[in-house]
Amino acid sequence: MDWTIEGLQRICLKMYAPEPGIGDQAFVPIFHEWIRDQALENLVLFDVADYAHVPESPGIVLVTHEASFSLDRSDGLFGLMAQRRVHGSGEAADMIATTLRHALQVAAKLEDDHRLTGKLAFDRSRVMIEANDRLHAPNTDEGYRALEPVVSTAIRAVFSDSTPRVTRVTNDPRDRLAADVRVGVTATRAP
Amino acid sequence: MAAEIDEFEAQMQLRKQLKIDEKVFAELRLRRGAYGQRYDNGHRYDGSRTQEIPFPRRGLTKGPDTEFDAPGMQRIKIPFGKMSAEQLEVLADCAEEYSNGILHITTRQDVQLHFVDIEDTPDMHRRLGAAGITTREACGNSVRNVTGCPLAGICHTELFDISPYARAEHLFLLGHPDVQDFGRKFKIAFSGCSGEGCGRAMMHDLGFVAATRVVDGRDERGFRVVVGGGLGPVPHVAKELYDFMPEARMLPVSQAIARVYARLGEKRNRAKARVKFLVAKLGIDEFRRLVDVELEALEPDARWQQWVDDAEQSHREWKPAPATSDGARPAPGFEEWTQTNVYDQRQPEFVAVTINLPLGDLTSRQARHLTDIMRRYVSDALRTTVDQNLLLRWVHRQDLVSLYNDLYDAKLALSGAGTITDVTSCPGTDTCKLGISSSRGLTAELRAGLEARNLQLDATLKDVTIKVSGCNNSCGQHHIADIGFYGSSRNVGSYKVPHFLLLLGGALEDNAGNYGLAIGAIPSKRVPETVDRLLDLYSAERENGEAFRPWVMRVGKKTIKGKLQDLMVVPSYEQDDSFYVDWHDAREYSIGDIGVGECAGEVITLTEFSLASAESKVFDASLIVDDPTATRERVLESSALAYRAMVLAALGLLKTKNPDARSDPETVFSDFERQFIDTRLFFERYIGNSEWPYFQAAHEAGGIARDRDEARRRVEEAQLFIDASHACYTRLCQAQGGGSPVLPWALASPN
Repeated sequence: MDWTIEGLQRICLKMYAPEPGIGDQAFVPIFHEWIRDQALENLVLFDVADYAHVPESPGIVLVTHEASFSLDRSDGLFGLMAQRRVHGSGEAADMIATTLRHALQVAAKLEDDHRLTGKLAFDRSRVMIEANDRLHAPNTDEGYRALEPVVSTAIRAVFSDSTPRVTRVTNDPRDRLAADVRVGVTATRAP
Repeated sequence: MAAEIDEFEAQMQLRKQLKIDEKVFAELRLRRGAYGQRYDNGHRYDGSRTQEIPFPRRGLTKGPDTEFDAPGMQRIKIPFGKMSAEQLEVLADCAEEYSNGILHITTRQDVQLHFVDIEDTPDMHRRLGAAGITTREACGNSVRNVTGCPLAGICHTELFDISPYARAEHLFLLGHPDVQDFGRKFKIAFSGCSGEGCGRAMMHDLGFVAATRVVDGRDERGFRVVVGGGLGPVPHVAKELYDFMPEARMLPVSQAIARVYARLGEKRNRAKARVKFLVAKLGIDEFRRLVDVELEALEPDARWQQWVDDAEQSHREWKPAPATSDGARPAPGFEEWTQTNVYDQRQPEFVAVTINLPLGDLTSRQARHLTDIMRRYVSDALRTTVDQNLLLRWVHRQDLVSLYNDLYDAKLALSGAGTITDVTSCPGTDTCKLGISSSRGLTAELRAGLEARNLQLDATLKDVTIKVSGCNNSCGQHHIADIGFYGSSRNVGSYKVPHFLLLLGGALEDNAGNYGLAIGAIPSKRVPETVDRLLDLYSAERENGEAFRPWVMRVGKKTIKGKLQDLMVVPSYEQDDSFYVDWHDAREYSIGDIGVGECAGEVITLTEFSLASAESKVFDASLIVDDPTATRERVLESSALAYRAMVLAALGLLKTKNPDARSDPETVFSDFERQFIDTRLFFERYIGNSEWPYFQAAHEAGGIARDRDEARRRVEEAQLFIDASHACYTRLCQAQGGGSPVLPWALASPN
C-alpha cells in the first residue's frame, strides 16, 4: 500500500435539499453580498462562478480560499456541495469535520436569507462524503476500510449526540471513493 | 518530463522561501501552463468599493502583483485537439480533484481548468504526463498549442491529412532551444485545405496549408506557408512566405522562422512583440530572405525527417466495425441533432459527430461518460475543436442512433453545433484578469435567446456565426465571425457602463482570412436586442440567398449602424439601473476592479465630446478601408482620418487638465506626451503603454499610410487608442472619487 488515508486533505461533501424552484441566478447576488461582507466565519470569500449553463453541474459556486460551495446537481440531485480546496495541517478526520462545519454554516445562512425564505431546506440527516483524492484514498475496498472510521470520527466530532451510519456509495470504480452518512439528527440546524 | 516537473516543484518551494525572484517564477510557472486568474492581485471590487482579499499568506507572491494563495488557471495542451479516452479520463480526474469539476475547451483546442491551487500543480502535471499530456509551454513566451483542423483525415475538401504533420511540429518544437527566447507567444496552425475555415491558418503566427504539386509525374505533398497573422488588438492577416514548401522542409523552415523571430522580434514592448509586427516592419520579402539565410546556416538535424516519418506511422486511426446492430429507437431530438451535429465523412460508412458544449464546458462526470462512449464506438478518435466543442470521428453509420442515445443519457446531445446558436466565448470577466465585460454571461444569454427562437434550424439564419470576447485581445476570435463582439467600457454621466464593441463582416472561409471591422459600442444589456435586429434586417434584406458577410458589404456598415443607433443609447441610471450591472453579475459595474463612487450631476464633459468625435472619425475611416471599391487615394485618406481620431481622443484627455488645450496635431501630440505619457497617467497598470505607440507611429507618419494594409491597421490602432483613452478617462474619474470629473468647465447635458 503506497498511500495513507491520513494524507487525505481534499474532501467533497454534499447535503441534499428538494429542488428550490427558483432560478440558479437567484444565488448570484446573495453570494456577491456575502463576499462584500465577508459574511462567513473562518472563510476568505472572493469569487462567484457560474456553471448554470452546464447540465448536472456545480451550478452557481461561491469560491472561498478554503473551500468552494456550489448549488450542485452533478449527481442529478440538488444540494449544497462543499469542496475543500487547500491543504491543512490536521488529519483527514479534521478536514472532513471542518468542511462539514463550513457547509452547515453556508446551508443555514442560505436558508435564512430573506430572498430564499421557505424555498430551501437542507436535509441535515444525510451527508454524502467524497474523498476527492484518488492518490490518498483509492476507490477500492481497502480504501473504504480506511476511510470509514475517519468519516465516523469526523461526524461524531460535529454531531456529538449522533451515532452515524456510514455506508459505501456504490459507484463507477473510476469515480471517487464516497460514503453515504446518515445522522440521527433531523431537526438540528446548527450543531 | 518527470525531472522538469520535479524541478518546477523545487522552484515553487524556493519561491515560497523568497529565494527566486517573483518575475522569474512567474515565467517559470507560465511555461508550465499555470496562469493567473482574476482577483489574484488580492483585490476585488464588491459593487461599491475595492476590498483587499485577506489571503492567509498575504504578500507572498507567485509573480508581480499575484498572490501566491490566489487560485489560478491551468492550461493544458492538446496538440491538434487529438485526445484518447485514457487522456480524457485523466483530465476528468484532475478537473475534479484540483479544479471544480469543469473542463473548459478553448478556441485553440486546449483544455483549461480554473481555480487551481499552485501547490497542486506538480502532482497534476505528473498525472497528466503519465497519460502523455503536457502543459509545457502552454502559456508564456513560447510555442503554444499547435492547432489543426478537427476534420483532418475525414474531410471532403482536404488535400491530405495534416494530423501527422501537426504532431511532428508539436513534438519537434516542444522545448526546442530555438523557441525559448521569444518576446511573445507564437501560435501555429495546420489546415488541410485553403477554402474552409476549420484550420484558421491565416490568423496565426505561422500557418501551414496543405498543398500538392506534381513532380516527375508524382504528387508531392507540401504546404503553403503563411506567417505573421494574428488577431488580438491589432489583427493581421498572415502573409504568404512560400507558395509551396515540400513536407520534408516543414521542420527546418519552422526552426528558421523561430530563429529569425527570436533574434529580431521586439522584446521590450509586449504590444509590438508578436511576429506579425516583425513581418509588417520588415516586409514579407525581407522576412523571407532572412528565413532563407537562416535555413542555409542551420545544422542538419536528423529529426527533421524522422519526426515526420514517425508521426505518420503513429497516426493510423482505427476504423471501427459497427458496435451495435440496427433497431435502436432514438431518444427525443434525434432528427434535429442529425441535421446540425453530424458530418458525413469522406469515408462513406462513417460520420463524425460534434458534441456541442455550452460555452465550451463539460463536467468531469460527463467526460467520464464520454470515455465509455468512445471506447464503445470510436476508440480514441476524439478531437477538441476551435469552436469549443468535441468531435467524435469514425462513428459507424449503423451506430448513430445508439450513440445518440448514449450521448443523450450523458446530457451531451445538444443540437445546433456549428450553427448560429453555437456562440463561442472566451472566459472574460468570469476568470480572466484582462476581461472588461462578461463575455460568458452575454454568450449564455445569446445562446438561450437564439435557441428559444429555434434559429439553429432556420434555413436563412442558421449559418450566421457569432463570437464574443471579453476584451480586445480576441481570445473569443470575434474578428472572424459574421457578428463579433468584444468587451469595452464607457462612461455615462457619473457611471461606467459595460459595453461590447460590435464588429460585422468577418468570415471563417479562406482559413479565417477576412476580419470584421468595428461598427460601434453597444451597451451589454442591449446586445441580445441588437443581434435580433441585425438578424431581422438580414432576413428582410438579403438578396438571392446571399450570406451574411456579402449582405453587410452590400448594404454598408454606415446604413446598418444607422439602424442600430437607438440601441447604442444608455438610459440614465435612474431610468434603468440594470444597464449599469454586467450579465450574470450583481455588482454595479466597474473596470479593473477599481472602486467607483458617485459624482454629482449628469454632465457631458469636453472630454466626452472629444472622445465621441474621435469615435465618429474612426468609424468613417473604417467604412473606407472596408469598402472594396474604394480607390487607393480614398483608402490612404482613411489613415489620415484614423490619425485625426487619435488626435481628438488625446485632445479629449488634455481637456481634463485644460479646457482651452490647443487642438493642432503637433501641439496635441507634444502636450499629450508630456502630460500623459511622461507622467504615466495614460498607462494601464497591468498592460503598460500598449496603445501609445500607435499614436506615436501615426504621428510620425503624419497620418499617411503606404498601402491598404497599413491604412487598415491604422484604423484598428486608432480604435484601440480611443478605447484606451476611454479607460484612462475612467481612471481619472475614479482618482477624483467619482464618475466624470467634477470640472468647472463641464457642460450640462443637452438632455
